[in-house]
Amino acid sequence: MKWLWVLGVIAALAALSSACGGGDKAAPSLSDADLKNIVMVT
Amino acid sequence: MSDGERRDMGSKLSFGRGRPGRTAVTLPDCDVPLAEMPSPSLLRDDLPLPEMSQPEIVRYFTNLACLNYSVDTGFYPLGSCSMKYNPKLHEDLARLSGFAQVHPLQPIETVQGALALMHELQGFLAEITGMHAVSLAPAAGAHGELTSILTVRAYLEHRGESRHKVLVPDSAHGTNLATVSTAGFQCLPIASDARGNTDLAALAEALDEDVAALMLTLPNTLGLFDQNIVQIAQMVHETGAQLYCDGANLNALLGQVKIGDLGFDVVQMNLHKTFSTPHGGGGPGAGPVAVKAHLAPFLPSPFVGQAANGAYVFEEPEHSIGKVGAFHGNFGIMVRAYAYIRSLGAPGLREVSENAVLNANYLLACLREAYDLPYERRCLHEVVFSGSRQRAKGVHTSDVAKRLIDYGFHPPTVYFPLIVDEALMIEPTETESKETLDAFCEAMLVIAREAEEEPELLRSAPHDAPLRRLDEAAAARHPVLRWQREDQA
Amino acid sequence: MTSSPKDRRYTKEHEWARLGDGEAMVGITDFAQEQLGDLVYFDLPEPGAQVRQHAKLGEVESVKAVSEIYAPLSGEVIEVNQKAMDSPELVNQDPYGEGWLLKVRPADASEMDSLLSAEDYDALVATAEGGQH
Repeated sequence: MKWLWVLGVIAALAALSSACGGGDKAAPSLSDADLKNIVMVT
Repeated sequence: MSDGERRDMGSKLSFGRGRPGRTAVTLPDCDVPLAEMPSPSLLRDDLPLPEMSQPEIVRYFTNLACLNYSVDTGFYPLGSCSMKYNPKLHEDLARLSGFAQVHPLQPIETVQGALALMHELQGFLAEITGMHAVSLAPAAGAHGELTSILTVRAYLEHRGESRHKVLVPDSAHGTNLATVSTAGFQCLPIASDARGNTDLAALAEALDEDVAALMLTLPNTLGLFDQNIVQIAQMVHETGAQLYCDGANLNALLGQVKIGDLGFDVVQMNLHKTFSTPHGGGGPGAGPVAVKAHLAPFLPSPFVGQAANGAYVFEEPEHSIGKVGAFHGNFGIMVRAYAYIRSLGAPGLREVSENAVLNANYLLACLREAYDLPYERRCLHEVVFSGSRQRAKGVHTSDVAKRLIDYGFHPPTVYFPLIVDEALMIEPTETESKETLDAFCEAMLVIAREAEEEPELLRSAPHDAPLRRLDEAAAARHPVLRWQREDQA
Repeated sequence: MTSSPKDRRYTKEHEWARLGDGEAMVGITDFAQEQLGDLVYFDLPEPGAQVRQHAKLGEVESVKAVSEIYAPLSGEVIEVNQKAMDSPELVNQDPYGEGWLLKVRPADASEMDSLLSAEDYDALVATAEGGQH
C-alpha cells in the first residue's frame, strides 16, 4: 500500500500548488534605461 | 570516451575548439527594419568566443558533464555532509506550477497554497525537534547558525544582560567559530575528553556570568552522542546561558530523541542534509531555526501564521531580529523537504536514522582492523578513523583519499575534525545498500594493504582520473583566478 | 624524529625563539610544519607591533587548516621574513633556517628561561606522536 500513500502525498502537494497562481503575470516590467543598465553590467 | 579523451576533457577549455565562422544555429533573415544600436560602445569585439557547430558544443558540454561525480553516479560518503540520495519525485513536485511560477511579491491571497505548505512545514520541524517555533528564513546551515546566535543575543539584550562569550567544543564545525565572531561574541574553545564527549571539568571552568551560549553539535563531529548532555544542559542553564544545538547531524536522531527534550533552547537544521533536498554545487540550501517559547518573539521575519478566518499570513515576531534575507527563504527547497517528511511519515523518519546509524556502524566494524579508531565506542551516523597507522609508513590520509578515486568512490571528508590525527570521516547515509557498503569497504581494505606493501602507489594517486594529483599548495600559493588568452597571459 | 637544534628554545605550541645580539628570531618548529602540511599563507604583525609572550602572534594557513601562532617572547617586531611570506614553502623546507618568520626586540630576555629546552621539546613531541587518544 506504500504506492497509495505516495499518491496521497502527490495529491496533497498538487492541491497546495493549485491554491497558488498568477505568478506569471507578476513579472516585472523593465524600462529601456533598466535594460541598458543590465546590458552594461553584463 | 577513451581514457585519453577523458584526460583531454579535464584540462582543455572550449577556447581553441571549433573554427572561425562556424555557428551552432542559423538565424532566419531579418524581416523587420534594422535599427541602430543605442550606443556602439555597448558592442565589444575583444572577446574571442569559440565558434563551434551544434554537435561540437553539445558533445563538449555533455562530455564535461560526464566527468561530474554526484550521488546520482556513485557512493558519496562525505562525513558531516549527509550526501543522501534525493528522491526524483520531489523534483516533480517542486516544479508544480503553483510552486515554481509564483512570485514573492504576489498578493498574499494568491499564494495561500505555498503559505499553507510553509506553515505545515514549520509545524513538522517543531514536532521533530521538540521545539515551540520555527523560522524557515535562513538560506543555509551556517546562515541558520548565525540567525540562531543573533536570536539568542537579542533575547539576552532584551533581558538587559550583557554577555560576551560563546563556548564552542574543539571538535566543532569551523562555521560555529565564524558564527560566534560574526555575531560579535568572543569564542572560547572547550576541550573534548578521552571518550569524545565534552570535557565537563573544562566546561565548568569556562562557564560564568559572561557566557551567552554553548554551541554543541549533536551527535558531535566524531559521530558520537555526548553522553553527558542532560548534565551539560543543567550546567549551562544554571549560569543563565543558552544551549544551542548545531543540527547538521540531525540525520542520526530523527524520530529517536527530540533536541528540545534534551534541554536545548535553539537548533538549526540543514534541510539539504537531513531532509534530502539537493545539495552541493553551492546550493541553494535551507537552514531553518527552531526555538523554545522564550526565544520565539526574537525570531527573524517573516513567520507564517494563520488568521482567525483560517487565511495564512506573514507575521513579524514581537521583538524580531528582522529580515535575514530577501523575501521568505528558499521556497523550492521547502517543497522538497515537505514532500520528504510527508512521504516518509513518522515511522519512515525513524527508519532513516536507524539505517543511517546501522550503516555507519557496519563500516566501523568492517574497517576497524585496518584503520585506527580514535574513540573505542559505537558511532552514530558517521565514523571517524585516524590514518596514523598508515602515516607511520609514510602514507597520509590525503593519499588514501586520492587512491579511493581510482576505485571509483568519492573520498570521505579528510583532516576533520581537527582533534583527530590524519582524520578520515565517513558518513554512508541510510540510502546505501549493503552491496555498495561492501564494495567501499573492500576498496578501503585493499588500500590499507597497498599502504603497507606499495606506498608509492598511494602517494602518486589518482592514476585513473581525468587529472592526476593536483598541486593544492601551488593552487593556494599562486591562484589563477581567471582564464587569459595565451597572447595576453 | 631528528632532534631539534640546541641553540634555541621552544614553546608547547611548537614555536621556537633564538636569541641573538639584541634581537630574537622566531619561527615554527619542524614538527609544526610537518603536522600542518604544505603551508600557503602567513598572517603576521607588521614591524613596530608589540607582541606579548604566549599571546596570539598571528596565523598560519596550510592546505589542511588555519592555525594560530603564539609569541614565544614579548617585545617589538622589527622585521618580517619577506622571503618566507612570498614563498611559504621555505618554512616547510627549512623551518629553523631560511624559513624563520619574525625578528623581535625582546622586552625581557629572561623570558627565554621559561621556554622549553630542545630536549624537553623533543620529549613533548615524542609523546604527541605516540599518544593518540
